[in-house]
Amino acid sequence: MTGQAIIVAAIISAAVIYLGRRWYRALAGKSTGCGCSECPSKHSSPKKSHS
Amino acid sequence: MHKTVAVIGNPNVGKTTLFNALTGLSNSTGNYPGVTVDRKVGAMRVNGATIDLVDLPGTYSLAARSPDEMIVVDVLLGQQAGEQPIDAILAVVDATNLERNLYLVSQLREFNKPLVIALNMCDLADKREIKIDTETLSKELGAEVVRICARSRAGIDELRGAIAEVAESASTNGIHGPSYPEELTREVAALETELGARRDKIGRAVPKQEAFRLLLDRDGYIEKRLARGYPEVTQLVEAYRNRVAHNGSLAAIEAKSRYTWIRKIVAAGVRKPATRTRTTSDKIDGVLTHKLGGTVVFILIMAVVFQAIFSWAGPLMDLIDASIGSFGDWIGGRLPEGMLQSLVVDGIIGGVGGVLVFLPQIVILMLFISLLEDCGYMARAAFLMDKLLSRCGLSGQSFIPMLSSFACAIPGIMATRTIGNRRDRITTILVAPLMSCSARLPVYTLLISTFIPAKTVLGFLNLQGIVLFAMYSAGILVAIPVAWILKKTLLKGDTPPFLLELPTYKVPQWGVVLRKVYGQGKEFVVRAGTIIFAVAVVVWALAYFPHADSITQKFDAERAQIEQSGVQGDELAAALQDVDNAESSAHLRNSYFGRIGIAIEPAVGPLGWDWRIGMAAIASFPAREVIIATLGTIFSLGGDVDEESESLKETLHTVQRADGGRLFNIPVALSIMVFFALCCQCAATLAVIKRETNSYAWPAFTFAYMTTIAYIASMLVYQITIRLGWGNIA
Repeated sequence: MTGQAIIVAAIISAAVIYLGRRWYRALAGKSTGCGCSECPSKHSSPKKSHS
Repeated sequence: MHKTVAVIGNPNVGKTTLFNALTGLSNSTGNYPGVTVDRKVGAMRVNGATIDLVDLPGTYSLAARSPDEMIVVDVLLGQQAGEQPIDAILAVVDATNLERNLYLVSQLREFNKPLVIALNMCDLADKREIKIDTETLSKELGAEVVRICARSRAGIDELRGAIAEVAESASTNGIHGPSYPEELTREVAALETELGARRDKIGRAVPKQEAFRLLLDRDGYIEKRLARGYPEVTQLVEAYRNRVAHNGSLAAIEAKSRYTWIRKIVAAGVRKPATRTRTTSDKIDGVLTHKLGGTVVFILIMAVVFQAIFSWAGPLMDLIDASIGSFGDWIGGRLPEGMLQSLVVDGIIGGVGGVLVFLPQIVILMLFISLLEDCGYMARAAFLMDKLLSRCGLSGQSFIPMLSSFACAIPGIMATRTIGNRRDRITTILVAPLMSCSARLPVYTLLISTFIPAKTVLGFLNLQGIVLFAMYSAGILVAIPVAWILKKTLLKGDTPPFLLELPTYKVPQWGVVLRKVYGQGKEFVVRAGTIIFAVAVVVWALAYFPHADSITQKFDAERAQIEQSGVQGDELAAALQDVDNAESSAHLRNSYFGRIGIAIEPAVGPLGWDWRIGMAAIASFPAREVIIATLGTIFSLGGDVDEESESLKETLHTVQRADGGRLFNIPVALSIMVFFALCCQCAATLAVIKRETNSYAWPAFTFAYMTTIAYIASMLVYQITIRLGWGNIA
């Protein structure tokens, strides 16, 4: 494997891991994954049960 | 230990502006009721001590009918999970409308907490010649009353001192509140005792103030919540209610008691002019809330916004585009030829750079939305829309979340927490993603500026601006029948009446406006640098590999043949360029991306798309603006970018179908835009719908119905416009 191929493989792996983690977190409700700085969802946790 | 003070007030009394002034935190403020949906905490420093301020959702009353109103009650009762019990209350009231604001204060008095009252908008009260005797008010209310103007920061230091003093002293100055009929007081005490006896069944103690609200608020949030764990509570409370309200409604008994108390206080401490003068706000409202005049002004304002997006952003976009192009050339020249150069230039710079070009348009759109919000116009727009929304079973209350969705569906969906009626709330959540968010803007403007002529129509309107306006309207026009159908079928039910307070018009605060614009611009750049960057890399990989050697060898042989044929000069360069393009195209068709794309081509064919557009649309389901990055990458890798194509826009004009015809024309561009206007291509939005509805069914339904409508509408637009001959317009 050439040096170029190693760098390219590393960048692609990092991108795939980043996207996978982001979507997993969004679906698991840990964050919305929108990355919005002003978005209220970034600062709030899922609603708690009041009962 | 830090003291904690809850900041409470009616919607739109300047609570968030005051919170920012006291804590120095950057929170957004809006001019329509209900903007503060979430809990915000900030530290206020005074005399070397730190006091935590909790900014609670705006509410007119503690008769909780929605989740955010319930949070206010829970914080006051010290039973909100994750929240410290509060030491004092800071009530923010509008000095120009004391009667209405004191209703909430009368309820706060009953929580036995030290209270400070910030008399906001005193400057406006002075202008209207309303004289308020703060000393008398303070005595009558049993609370510290401080005159302030949150916008100009007048009185803020004095207020800080008062908060610190009251929080430290923990004095309630005795109970100064309304008097109720004896039978009500008696039944509340009896209910509290009975609920205490059933504590084990209920699962927790019910404090007196909660028992009081439970008895008064028929079908209220407290009752519904208790009934979830202990269904018998409804029957139990109803028996108590019947004993109290045999002579009238409970709400009327409460209102009468409170307003008797309020009138006494206002009579003692407030002097108003004999006749109410018609204010400037009243005069402006005469036009802006007029059925016909208001609608005309609304359409004109929107038209100006969309015209400005095209007219003002152009030069800056060209500059960014040229800078990104030069940067790509510079980087490309320094990297050795091969897959790394292709990844950086075609994938990353071609993809991310293509999206960043649209930053000026996002900034202009957000600037207008923030200005209109901050000056108070948006509440008028909600008022105008109430009639329209009531026809499809919703109310003006749904307009505010829908309006927020024009910036981003996520805060819009979260703003539905202010809607008390569950069916209305879910309906609004389901149609909110149909509003054109800022992520759709780059898709619209790329295709409009490329294919729609910049002609002037009706003497002053730009055709491109009109098409953009039509795309934004498409979401609203589809949302209306969708909401109507939902309210007649899955979410059938009555809609409670909508009460909206129209705030006084104000000169926008540039600090607040610019902060919002900065936040949105930053988000766009951050998304380009994170999600879009990552997707561009993945798309590039799928479109580059397996990069078969057999294809490379075949075209190397062709190149050798041309070079040996004796052709020279420009002719040779052109022939070699054709071979390069053919090779890129062959690699792309053979890539993983190409193979999937060719398999799905029959499905997207009726929309006028080829497999490349189909794949770009599919790649955009996680985040819609990815389509630009994907098209940039596909056409770079496919050899469609020639030396004259300085930008993606120019490439779109020249790119060809397999049969040699032009891939893009007006019907194709319209079909793509309509698809993007109506399709739910945002994973984050679906995740928030799941969270807010606590169900996987609603996001699945949203995705299914929006994608189906988008496909059908897009196909209709293409098939109709192609038959009208628009495909031949150059």
